[in-house]
Amino acid sequence: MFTAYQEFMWRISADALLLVSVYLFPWWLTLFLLLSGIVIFRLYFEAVVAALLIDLLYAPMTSLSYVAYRFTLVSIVLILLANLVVRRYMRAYEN
Amino acid sequence: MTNSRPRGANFKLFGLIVPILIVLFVMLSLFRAQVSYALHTGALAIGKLIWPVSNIGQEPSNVQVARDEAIAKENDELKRALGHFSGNSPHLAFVLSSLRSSPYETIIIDQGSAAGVTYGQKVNTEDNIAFGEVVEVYENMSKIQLYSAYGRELEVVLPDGTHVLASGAGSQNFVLKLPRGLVVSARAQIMLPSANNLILAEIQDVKESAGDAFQVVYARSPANVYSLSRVYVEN
Repeated sequence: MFTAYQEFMWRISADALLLVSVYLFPWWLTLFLLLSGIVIFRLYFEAVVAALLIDLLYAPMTSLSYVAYRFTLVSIVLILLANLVVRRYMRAYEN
Repeated sequence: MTNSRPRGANFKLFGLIVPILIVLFVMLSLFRAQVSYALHTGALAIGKLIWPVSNIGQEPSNVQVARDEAIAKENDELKRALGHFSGNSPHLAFVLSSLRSSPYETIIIDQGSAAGVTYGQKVNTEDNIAFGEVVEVYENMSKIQLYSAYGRELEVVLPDGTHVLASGAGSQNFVLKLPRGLVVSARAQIMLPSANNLILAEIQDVKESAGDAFQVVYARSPANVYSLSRVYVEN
């Protein structure tokens, strides 16, 4: 198992990679990194920031509707699901 | 196995997160336009650090002008010759973020309001193939949405001059549902209603089923938008 410091460093590295991937990598690779982060890290709120960046940068905001922020909304739901439901019932996820 | 964390901890967290989300939702509803503009500006400001955004349109410093005078002059002449940032129609723009990065069928170009780009302008390839429209304009950047974005509808012109509606089917594909009596053939080109004869797509297949009053036409843009580095914005 990783120490708290090692986990922190991994998390920072993953954050940097995710941020760069939003701007430079194919969107499906960004999505893969985002989902991986949600699964691997506890309460990975950086995924919401990355998803919000994807929506802000690439979604056509002609209507200003919440549908335009679909990546952000889905990532929030996934984080809540991963942390409030899946981790509660899957002992392997307990840190 | 012992677990020091109480089983109800997740629900305490739930009780903390849900009120925060409700407050955020209410705030976003009240100040949606302002918050959206501020967030967009912030996201694009980070993009300016990563993407090679040109500084054309901003006031250059005297030192820079003195140092690069000859090169800048030649560069300006070349760009003017290509119609870049000169007000001529159409003008050149470089693609900053390609279709690969966008899940929404949008690309970002390096020309914005400073270069005269406005909402709704058509964007073409070098071969005069129209593929998108300006949907957001910032000072030095603009966002282009492809006509083929899923669910998007637009008016097109068939080879015989008939105006019909085409629906975007994603990945540069279009679907047209036309009356069965209308004669359309594969390999025919679909145009945009424009004075510049802009090609939109090429018909790939026509499907008719017995007893159906409509025929379904499948068309595809002849341009590969994924590999584009230069585009032209129609004035």
